Amino acid sequence: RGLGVPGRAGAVLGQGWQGSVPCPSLSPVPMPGAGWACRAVLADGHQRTVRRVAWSPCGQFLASASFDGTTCVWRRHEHGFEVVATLEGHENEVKSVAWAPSGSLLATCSRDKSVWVWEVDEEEQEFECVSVLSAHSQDVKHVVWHPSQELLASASYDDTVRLYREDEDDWVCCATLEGHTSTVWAVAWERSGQRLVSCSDDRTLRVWQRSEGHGAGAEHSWQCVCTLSGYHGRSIYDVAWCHLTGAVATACGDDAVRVFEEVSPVSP
Amino acid sequence: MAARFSGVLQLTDLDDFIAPSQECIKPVKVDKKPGKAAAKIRIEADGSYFQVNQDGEAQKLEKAKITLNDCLACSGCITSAESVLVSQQSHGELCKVLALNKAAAPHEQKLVVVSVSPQSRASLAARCKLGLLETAQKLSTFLKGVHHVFDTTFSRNFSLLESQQEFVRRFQRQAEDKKALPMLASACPGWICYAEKTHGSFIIPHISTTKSPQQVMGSLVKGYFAEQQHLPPDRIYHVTVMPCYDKKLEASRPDFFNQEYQTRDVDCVITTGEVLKLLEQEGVSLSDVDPSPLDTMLGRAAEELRSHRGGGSGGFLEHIFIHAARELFGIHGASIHYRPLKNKDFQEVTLERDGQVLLHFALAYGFRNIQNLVQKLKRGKCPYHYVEVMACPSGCLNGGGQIKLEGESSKEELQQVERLYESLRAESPEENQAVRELYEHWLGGWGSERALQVLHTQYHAVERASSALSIKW
Repeated sequence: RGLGVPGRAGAVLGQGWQGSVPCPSLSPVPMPGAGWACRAVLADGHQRTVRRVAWSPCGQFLASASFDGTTCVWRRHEHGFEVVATLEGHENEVKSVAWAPSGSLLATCSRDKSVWVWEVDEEEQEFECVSVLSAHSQDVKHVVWHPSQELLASASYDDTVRLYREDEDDWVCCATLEGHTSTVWAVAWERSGQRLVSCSDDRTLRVWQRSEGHGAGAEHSWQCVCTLSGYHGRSIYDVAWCHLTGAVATACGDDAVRVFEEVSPVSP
Repeated sequence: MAARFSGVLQLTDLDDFIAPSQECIKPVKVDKKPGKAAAKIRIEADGSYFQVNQDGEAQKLEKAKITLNDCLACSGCITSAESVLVSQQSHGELCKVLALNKAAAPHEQKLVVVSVSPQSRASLAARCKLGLLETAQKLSTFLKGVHHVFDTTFSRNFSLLESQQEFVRRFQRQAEDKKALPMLASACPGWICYAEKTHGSFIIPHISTTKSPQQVMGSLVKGYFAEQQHLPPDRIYHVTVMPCYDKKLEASRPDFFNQEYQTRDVDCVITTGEVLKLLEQEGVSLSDVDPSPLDTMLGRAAEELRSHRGGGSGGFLEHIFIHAARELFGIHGASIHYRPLKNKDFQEVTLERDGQVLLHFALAYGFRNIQNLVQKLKRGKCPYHYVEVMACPSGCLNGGGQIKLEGESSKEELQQVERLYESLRAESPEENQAVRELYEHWLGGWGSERALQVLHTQYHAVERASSALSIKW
């Protein structure tokens, strides 16, 4: 279900590759594909399903979010990976983890309805919780950072997308994007960070645009500028917005992958 | 745990059991008689199910039920029993109860007692623009049909005294008992429920066993006060007014249920916001209400309102600090200077002598600070002897059930509530004559077995059931 955007190093994010083994409950039989080798199997970090993985911007750390309620942070070294931290505190399954572009913040979200923001300590061995945000009223499925700013988006079973930023010594929810009529499964930012796209159980994609707030120091507001409906036959589980070409790809429960492109750009 | 009210006060269609939803993962134990052949199931016209055995004997099948408490502690599915519970204990229910009580026969009527927390009183006073004493007196009048209105500042004296004593005992045995310190405050149910669910048996030994002021009040009202009124505990309906919703969860803990009389120590918790709703519903403005004299549990007139030092969450840190400084190190009148750490909800206090740190205490409010504290504990890097842990940033005065304004003015309103709260004269629990009398005459003396039993409680790690059938992506 997880799709990723190829990064500079060519790493592809997401859950393990399936070989051509028909029955998933048998031990996997490795069948090396051309050009790739399995470098590490990190089997002891979690006690339940590993739901999401994310590379840090510097490429030296890997975060894994699990249904066991914890998020492990692994550091790569010459011969493999070792756990440098286990982030606990969520009451139940962690659904997503994401690194901020600066690499010094990490966000996690869970079925316990909360989004947690963690700060990396200087020695990079310790992570400290800087905020527990309980803005959503249901299971939070996905968190993703703005491409360049410390602005965080989350998607939830409560049909909304929420945005968060730092305010004095805490983080606050600075916007709630309402419009979807069912679970929002994922969110993706456009390269400029002025727009984001959300995909939902309601079989639509919504594009949201940031606009300047009115008056000095006012909060930005977000508007839904486009709703793409009638294209998807079932729930849309994931969406990705290519930072190079601007194309938007979706993962759908109707077994198809779709790609969308903007035909008439919104005038500035 | 079937807390069935008398016929008079039966809540309409809610009891302490709820039907589990499709998503429920809690195993339900249903007693079945062993049988060889497969039973037939017959559905009656009223929807009840009967199992028909081979010999034709019909046995009514129990509906799958799950206790409210098990449901609350689980978080296995998206719904919530929390919302069921919240609706079960609300101002709406209180109105129903009062109305039914009024209409009941004299021998079936319950004595209704309301215990108001000082935080709720301060919040109401700020909103209604009244003084604290006026608010207390007018509230007494407004709650018609209620026979007595008490102030939980009184029961807080017991929580503070017991906490002080408990800390000194733990400090003295820290060499033999690695889990004695740090001692963590127990008055906040938001923290307790979270600790039981998320950190379980690791953290529980550190939590103070002293009951919260709400639950001490419950024991006093259903114990001492009931005896004074010559009533059994189940003939008293005890309501508390609290600054948060988690106090409703605390009141419904099985540990606070009296098995012998089948009654809870606290029957119903309503929040400050719900009291405001009651006022609005009745179209009453508190400032227009006539004041009534205040009640005390010992039957004497209350002279003036008192408070305790140490902030709006009970003052546990300060009381324990001062007591420990005196008892353990012979330092009288120790002064307290707070040092803020990474944010205003995480502060430290130390007691030093000749360059040596004798006591190292901290305040940790809000989940991010709680999380960091627990992490430090798990890594063996926690330097504190005592931590006053509270779930709400800024403490109880900013609780989730307090009356709030949105946006910019909410900060000012909180400051006003804090100012009002701090305006009362603080007294030391040791100085309270009524408290001393109760210890001597009802609790069997200071430090007795009975005092331990009545004023302390225990905690239970919540088992996390993992059922592969209930995975939700």
